[in-house]
Amino acid sequence: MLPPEVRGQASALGTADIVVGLPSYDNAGTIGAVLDAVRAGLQKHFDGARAVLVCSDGGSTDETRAEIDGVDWDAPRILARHEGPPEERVAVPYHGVPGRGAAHRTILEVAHLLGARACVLVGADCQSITPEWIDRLLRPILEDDHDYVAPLYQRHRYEGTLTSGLVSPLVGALYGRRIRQPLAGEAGLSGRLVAHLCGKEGWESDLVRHGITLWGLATAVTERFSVCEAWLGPYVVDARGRRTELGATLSHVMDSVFALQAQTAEAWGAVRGSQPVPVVGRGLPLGLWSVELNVTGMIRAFRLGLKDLLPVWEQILAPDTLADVLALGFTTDEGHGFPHALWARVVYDFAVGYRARVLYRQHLLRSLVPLYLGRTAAFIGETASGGAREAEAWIEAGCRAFEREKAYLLARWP
Amino acid sequence: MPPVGSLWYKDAVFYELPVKAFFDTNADGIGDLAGLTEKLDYLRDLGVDCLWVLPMYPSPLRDDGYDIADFYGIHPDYGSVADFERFLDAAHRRGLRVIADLVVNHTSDRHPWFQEARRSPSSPYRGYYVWSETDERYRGARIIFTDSEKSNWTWDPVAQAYYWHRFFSHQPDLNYDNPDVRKAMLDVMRFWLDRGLDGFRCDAVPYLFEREGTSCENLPETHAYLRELRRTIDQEYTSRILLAEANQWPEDVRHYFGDGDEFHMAFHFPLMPRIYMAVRSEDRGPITDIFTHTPPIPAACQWGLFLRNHDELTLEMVTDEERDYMYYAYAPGPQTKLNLGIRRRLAPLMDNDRRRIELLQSLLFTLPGSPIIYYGDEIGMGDDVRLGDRNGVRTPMQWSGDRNGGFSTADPSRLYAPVITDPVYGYAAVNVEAQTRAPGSLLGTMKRLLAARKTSPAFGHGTIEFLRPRNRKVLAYLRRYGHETLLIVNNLSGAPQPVELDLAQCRGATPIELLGQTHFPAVRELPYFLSLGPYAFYWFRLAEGRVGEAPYGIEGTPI
Repeated sequence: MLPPEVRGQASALGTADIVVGLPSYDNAGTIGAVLDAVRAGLQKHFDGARAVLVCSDGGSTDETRAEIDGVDWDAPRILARHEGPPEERVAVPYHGVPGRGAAHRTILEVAHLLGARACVLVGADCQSITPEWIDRLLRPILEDDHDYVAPLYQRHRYEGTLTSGLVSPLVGALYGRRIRQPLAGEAGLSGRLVAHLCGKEGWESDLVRHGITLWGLATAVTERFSVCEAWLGPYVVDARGRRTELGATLSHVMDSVFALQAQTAEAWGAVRGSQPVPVVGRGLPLGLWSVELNVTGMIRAFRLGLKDLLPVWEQILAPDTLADVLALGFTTDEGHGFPHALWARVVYDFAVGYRARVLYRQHLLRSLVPLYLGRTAAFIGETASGGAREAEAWIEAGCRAFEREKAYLLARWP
Repeated sequence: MPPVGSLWYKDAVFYELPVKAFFDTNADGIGDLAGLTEKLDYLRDLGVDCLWVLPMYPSPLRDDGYDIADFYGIHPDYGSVADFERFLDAAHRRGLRVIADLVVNHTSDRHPWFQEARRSPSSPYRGYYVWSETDERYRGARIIFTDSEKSNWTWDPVAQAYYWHRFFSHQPDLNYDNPDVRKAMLDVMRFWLDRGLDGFRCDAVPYLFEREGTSCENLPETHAYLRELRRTIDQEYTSRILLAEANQWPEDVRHYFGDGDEFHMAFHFPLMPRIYMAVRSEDRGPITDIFTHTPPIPAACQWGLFLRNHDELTLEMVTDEERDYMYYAYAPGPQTKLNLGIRRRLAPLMDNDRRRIELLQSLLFTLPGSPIIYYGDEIGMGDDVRLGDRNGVRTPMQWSGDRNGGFSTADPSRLYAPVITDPVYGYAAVNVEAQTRAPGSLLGTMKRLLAARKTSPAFGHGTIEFLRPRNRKVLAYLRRYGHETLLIVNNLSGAPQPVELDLAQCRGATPIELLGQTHFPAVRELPYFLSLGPYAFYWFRLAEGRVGEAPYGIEGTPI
């Protein structure tokens, strides 16, 4: 439901070919450059198309709105303001925009109202966006008839470990499509998919409000829209707006993922294996530049979990899985392994526990953190001496393990 | 073995238990060391760090084992020294430490030392005890067990002399002016430390020496001997502790820490009744006042905090007016009073109100010191005031709804004490098995509180600064350690309360609630407003950037 002032602005514009959506919150330092890249991309690649910019701000306290007002661009624009849920205003989520679900909804509804052929979403805190990103997110829709374009970024091998080690393998195994960035803030959507999403029920649900990106992608996949991936380039964001504690990030993300999983059981129950989706553009290897990692801290966090969270894990993990976790032998700060299949079973047990509400869900999600850190430490420990190829192979092996262990999930699903 | 760290006791949560009451494996109706060993997983899972084992030595049991008849043995009802060693090894494998009671002030009158001593003035053990031809000496010493003893002297017809005892007449005091006694007690300690014990809770330490014209308590000679004990243990062992039982005012107990060269820990006796007073009167005053009278202690020392223990809820360290109030509030019948105290467990004292029980546990876990949980209080066990002395709070642990509460398979008539069976606190209603299956149980809450307490060293090591909001029904304080600041807010009232806290010094910080990891609004210029439900409490970490563990390096880019 569009706010009247936004509907009024949109109605006055009539129609559009392309809608560019930009959710923002305290992004004065980056949004100007993002808007410049968008404008340049549209001018360079889609000159003549009628593009509308929709900026939805979550109540910035800095000069974000002034930056939007001051951008040198004569394209029509709609300035909206969305309300984030109270808890997201208090603690800004990992993606940096309180109420990102409401912002995306506004953008999609404007695109639907304007009858846009395509809608592209970009993050206002992205520092590495180039004009080419607009082309790569829109062209597969406008020329190749795809409905959803998910981004592929060039990243360091140890960046995005929550996505590469947990969310992507789980989503791939559930829905049968291999998507490397299912939580990305950038995406392209066809007008057809936008119309479908706008017509769906459940926009007020917590799942959509907190996990709209994943919900949109899962809808596209399960309802047989055409999905592809597009290589965009390096991914760098302004970390100042994303200073979220790791546990809060994991909890927020997995709350959405497990909720989606619980809600769509009929859709994924019969899916076996996975298929890659078409990829647009030339692939880029994982980065190997030097980063400072505290693997010892991760191992210690895992060991602390073993000591303090055992009573909680006993309620979540199947006895054999728990026994295998206990047998991992993290007795020192040195390296160790965390087998792919065991990790998949752990995650599936948590999904089952979440579905069955075996305990307060936030406690359940929080108790996954030490296990995630243990798994990440294993990833780093086993690939640190190798190159990009080894890291890619490890991630892929993890994904395949989630697919192989899906029978375990199905056997336990309540 | 548990992690080594010389200050481990400052982070530890202690759990006090009597072997006889915990678990019986041989169906004789009495708990034993094998049973305690069998239940170690439960204690580990509860989240405690150190077990305090009540006296397990051979004893006639006229004072529940505090009348020791052989310092080098194990009471046959509980097992053997070998069983104790197996128990220690099993505890250490689970990361649990163990300390045990040691009564240094006196022995049982059945102890061979006393039996030898009374028979002949020429016995080498005669000098182990304090004898007199008259009962007129040391009249400045008070009588502690006023309900049962009329004098600190008792005539022994065999010795034809009076002997000195500060407690029961069957517990003659040792004579620490005798160097042989001082050495003998050191040898006793070595014996148990050599078996792996992690320390001692030393019973009745203020009374070791007697001097005419004094109260015979807290004498300089006592402190000199305690320093000798500590020095010996530090020289010969690592990471072992001494915990003092000295039921005294904090300024007097302070001396038992010395310059960090006497006891590692000592109980904070006066705090305990004031916690009860504060909750009953719905006023923070009793708690904040006692801390203004609590002197600083050496950095390596620690207070031991408790809500209840195996004795009566002692009211020695309160004023007469406060004692009257406590009796009025918490001792509804004469059966519940004993000596200068109240012989009831935590749950009955709180009328079995879960909110109040949890509030008291919150206070126990967050005030400065190491908390000590009395066995059974984690599930809200009740008491049996019909049992004599303090036995009403020493009934069998309630493990399940099975026969004898799962404590023993013996004929119920053979149990050392009857299991609680009443409808409210009986084992059918209150037991470990049922509460383990219910995450929302008191046991579940205790586990969560203990787990949350482990997330910050400020609980064990931090300073305390009381906030002074206008609403006196709210007790709020900051605990600081290094870069870590905790904000603890407790509603002492049975009605919802608003409170405005002056947190100007923490402006910009984000309070993160430790039990749910919920982020609260950041502290701004205005007073920080909170509302609390009846008897509710918050434990916050005030986060300013990253605190605690060094970053993992993946926090900024997990997605």
